[in-house]
Amino acid sequence: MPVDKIYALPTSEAGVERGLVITYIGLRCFNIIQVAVGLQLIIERTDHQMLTVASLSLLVAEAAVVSRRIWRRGRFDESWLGIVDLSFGVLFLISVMIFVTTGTASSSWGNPGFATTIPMASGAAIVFRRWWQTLAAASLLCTVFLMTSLPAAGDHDMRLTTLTNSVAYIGFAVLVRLVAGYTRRLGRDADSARSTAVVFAAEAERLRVQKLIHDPASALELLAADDLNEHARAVLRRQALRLAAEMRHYLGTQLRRSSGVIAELEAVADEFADLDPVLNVDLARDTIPAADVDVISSAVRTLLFNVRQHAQAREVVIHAETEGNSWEVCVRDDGIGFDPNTRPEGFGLSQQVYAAIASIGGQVEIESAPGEGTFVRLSREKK
Amino acid sequence: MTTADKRDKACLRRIGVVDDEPVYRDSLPLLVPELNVVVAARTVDEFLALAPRVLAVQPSADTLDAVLVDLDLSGNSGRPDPVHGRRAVAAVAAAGYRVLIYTGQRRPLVLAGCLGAGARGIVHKSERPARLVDAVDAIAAGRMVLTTAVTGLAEAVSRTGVLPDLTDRQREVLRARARGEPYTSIAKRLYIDRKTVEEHMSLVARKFSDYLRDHSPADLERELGIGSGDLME
Repeated sequence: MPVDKIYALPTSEAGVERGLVITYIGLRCFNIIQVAVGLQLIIERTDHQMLTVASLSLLVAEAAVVSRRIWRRGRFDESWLGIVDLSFGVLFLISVMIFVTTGTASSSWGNPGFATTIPMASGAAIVFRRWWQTLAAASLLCTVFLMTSLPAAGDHDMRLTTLTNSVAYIGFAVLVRLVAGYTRRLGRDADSARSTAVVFAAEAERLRVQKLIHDPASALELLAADDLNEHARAVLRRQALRLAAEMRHYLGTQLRRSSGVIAELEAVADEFADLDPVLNVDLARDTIPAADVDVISSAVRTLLFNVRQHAQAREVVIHAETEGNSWEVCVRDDGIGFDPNTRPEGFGLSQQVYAAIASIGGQVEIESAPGEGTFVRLSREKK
Repeated sequence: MTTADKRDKACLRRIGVVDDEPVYRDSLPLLVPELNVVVAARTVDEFLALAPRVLAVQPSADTLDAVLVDLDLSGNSGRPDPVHGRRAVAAVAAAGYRVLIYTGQRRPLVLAGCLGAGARGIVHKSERPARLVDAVDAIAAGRMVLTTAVTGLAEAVSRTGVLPDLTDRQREVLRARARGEPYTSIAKRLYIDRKTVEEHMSLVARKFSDYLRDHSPADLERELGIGSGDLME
């Protein structure tokens, strides 16, 4: 795994396990560094130099082998490995009893037994799945530590220090166990939340598609019927066109990552999927005030509603352009149009479009003629 | 068949169709009687094998007026044919045919990519048959035909200054077409002939397709400041 991945652990169950592996390997590494620093002192003071060097080397080798295995595996979860680790800890504590000189037993620089086996209690909290296993492992280390270190402790103070230290085995095991258990639960919950979200999204999409093709399927069957009268055929043909446009709109849409007026116009176009509007909005990337965007999209919604109700259009085009503070949004359809002289307000084009656009300093222009579609331009020039 | 019918048949536009859907191969001659479907094939390979043989036995015709190419072509297994989308367009164009994309595909960037691959025009399957006939006429006359959405893309690209030498008239026509204005309306407004307007737009389309030939859809997205992601063939 590349180094940068370690720093960005995934927020998943696997990520948590990897994190626990890193914690354990980290503890063992710090501990080896501690021993290395005190090594000269330990060797100077002991009568069993060979034994000292041999058991410390063995401990480093064991740490390396276990670390390598759990790093590759991505998790520290094999009980047998936990037992091997624990056994090395116990053996090391016993060997320490032999090579450490009396009187230095409670100093971590003089007695590496305590410092090197504390990480093993943390390891036991990670590797064993049951509380009693963790507690038994920590108690074993604690007991062996007391049995091997108490007799070597010189005076009362040292015995007291040794006793206090021994509590750390249980303390570390319990705390690491609590943290590991909690983060594991978080990891599992994150995984299950993610997979639930995927299932829900797929289900929602399936329902959407079902809803989308349900009506067209019926319309196709009805249109294919032999005994269809002219009136019914005319109605069905209009329905079929509308349904086909809706399906086409669905086919044309994709994951949208737009913002501002573009995103709003896309949302409006989705509401009018039956018109399948062409959206030419690539020139509208300059940001305009959010209040303007609201007014514009609501005006476009009104315009499209009119197109849907009256125009019988085949093509509807929404064009938008922004530059600095100025903007222009055009809606054109190729429908039946109307005569602006006889119906100045168009298709009941409500005051709200004029008034709303005027309220943000913009203007509305309408061009239409019977049979020639309708063109509406909303704009605001540079201030 | 009367003499008049025979003469009409001889005047018909002669087209090829590459479409995996039988509904289009079979019903196009019935739906659009103005077009004479000379070759209909399911895949590009089939078309390229069939067309020269058909044309060889046809008197007075050395080529087709246009070849309608669908972009979503599936092979025998139902999975996409290896030669589909942009590659289908490129293969048919490379064989010397005038390609008119006839598709349900709506994504402007995908369609722009196909223009770059040598297509002369695009018509959506949802459009009226008359539009298809107009497009075949235009292509046979050497002009290019864009959809409104692709025209919108051309307008946006032209604003970045990468389409060289657009005249003011061309700019004006492009601007109007991107807003969906019909040719007749533009002609009336600018006091020029409808054919002239079409000619202006066709020249813009040619400059756009020249640009697309040397630039990938990813370049286009960068140019327009669109996030990447619409690069599906």
